[in-house]
Amino acid sequence: MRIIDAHAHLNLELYPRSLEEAASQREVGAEPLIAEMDRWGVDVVCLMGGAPFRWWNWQRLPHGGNEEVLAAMRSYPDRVVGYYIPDSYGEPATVRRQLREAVEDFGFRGIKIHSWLSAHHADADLLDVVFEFAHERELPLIFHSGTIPYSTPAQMFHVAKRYPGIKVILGHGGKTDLNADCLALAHYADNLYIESSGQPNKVFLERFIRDHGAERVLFGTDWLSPLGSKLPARLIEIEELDISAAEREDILGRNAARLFRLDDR
Amino acid sequence: MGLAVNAFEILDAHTHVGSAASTWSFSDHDYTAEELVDHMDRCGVTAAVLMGGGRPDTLPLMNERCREAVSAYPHRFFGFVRVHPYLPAWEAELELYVMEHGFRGIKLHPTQDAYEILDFRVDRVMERAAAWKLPVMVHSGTIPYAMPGQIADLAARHPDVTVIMAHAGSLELYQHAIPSAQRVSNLILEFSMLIPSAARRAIDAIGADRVLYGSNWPATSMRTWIETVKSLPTFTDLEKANLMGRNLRRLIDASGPSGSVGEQDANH
Repeated sequence: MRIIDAHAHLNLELYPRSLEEAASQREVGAEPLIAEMDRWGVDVVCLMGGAPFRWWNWQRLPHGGNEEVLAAMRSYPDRVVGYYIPDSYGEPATVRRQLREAVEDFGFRGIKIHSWLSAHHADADLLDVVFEFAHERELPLIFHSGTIPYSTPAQMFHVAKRYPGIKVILGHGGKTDLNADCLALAHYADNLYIESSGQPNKVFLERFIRDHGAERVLFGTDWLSPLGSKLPARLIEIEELDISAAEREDILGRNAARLFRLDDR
Repeated sequence: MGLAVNAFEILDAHTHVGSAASTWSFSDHDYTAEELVDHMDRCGVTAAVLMGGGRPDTLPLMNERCREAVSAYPHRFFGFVRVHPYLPAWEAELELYVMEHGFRGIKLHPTQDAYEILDFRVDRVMERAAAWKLPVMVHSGTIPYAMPGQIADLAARHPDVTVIMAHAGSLELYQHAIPSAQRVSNLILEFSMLIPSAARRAIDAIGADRVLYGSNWPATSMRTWIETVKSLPTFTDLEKANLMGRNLRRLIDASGPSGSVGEQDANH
């Protein structure tokens, strides 16, 4: 069985305590992640950066920092699938050109929106160009979900209903406070999925799987850095779910393979 | 991955029977003490803090369910009595469960029981906790009633009470838990709903004596933390021992009023 991590980051600065620590968080390459994956038996990672969430990085790099993920895709073509993070505040024509280049020339297979870190609502009009592009090409689009006011499941549900071509993945499944919203909204949009990292509530996950099917849940780690690895804990969380072996295989890899069309490449 | 033999005692600071605040709306399953003990045995957990959880209208029943479990497994559970400070019955409930049934602490759940944690009525409960040397565990991590800073303010008002911040702010407010604990020394962090890497930063900031492992079972599996702590070099051996059991053991040993059943047990 192929295990696919649907949510990991390179170079996401997270609560550093000094400028040195911030710099060290931004300088983590893919090598330690690949080593961790090898150690814990993860075959493929769907990877995103951290820098492009911040508007100022788009003023210094043509792809805002997505370049770092592209380098990892090129170093590990069989192990790394790229999520492209668009410029939330870019000119629509420019954003569309950047997205086309990312998908057609560079081979990115999904889009990530972290509206909390980019500081706008998840369904902001700013992103219409992104949503239209993802809808046309039926791409998976993952949001950070679970944080008020910019990352609530209801905003993502709005996107899923307006753009039924998009496979909308609610990263963290609404976390601890908004997981019930995911459970409710998934009844009304077949193109809503959840991803398991940052969702410690075993009973919620089991209920979501019972109500909506395991095919709508993706395994993810939210891996950020080699320090304090999250990977084994995330795998154990899935192992401990009271579900069938077939459902577990869907979550651990088959669903991501289908959404990202990994067997078409 | 199998569980290695314990090099340290594991005590779980946060468990429930029946259901938990974070599970009852997702499942009707009635989680029993037998199931909980099975999980503890599987994961090498010697004993656990057990307290009421679930639907708020079942508050009196929750404490009774815990009493039954403590009575059936007296060496496996430390009962914490859940009270609602707005209901005058809290005083009699507290006395019954502590003096007659040997409960070792108090649980406050301002979110699930819907009250303001800095209300004057909570102060009355805290004053009794100080007099009876009872640790008070307070749910944290949800707005507007259970934010880390509010719990730190409560602890600062009552410096003689050991206050345990359950979930250490949880995923959304965890970053506020550490500075809250840094400014109030009688505040202890319990990490259920987070993963072990979250405790690393807390230990760096406030030391390894004010941190507790907890699972919030049935909301999470105990195995996630226990196996991860054992298999990764995140903590030193001393930190592991403190985090996973020794700190709670010390806290429980020091708890309870003189003359209570719990004190007599502790002396045996």
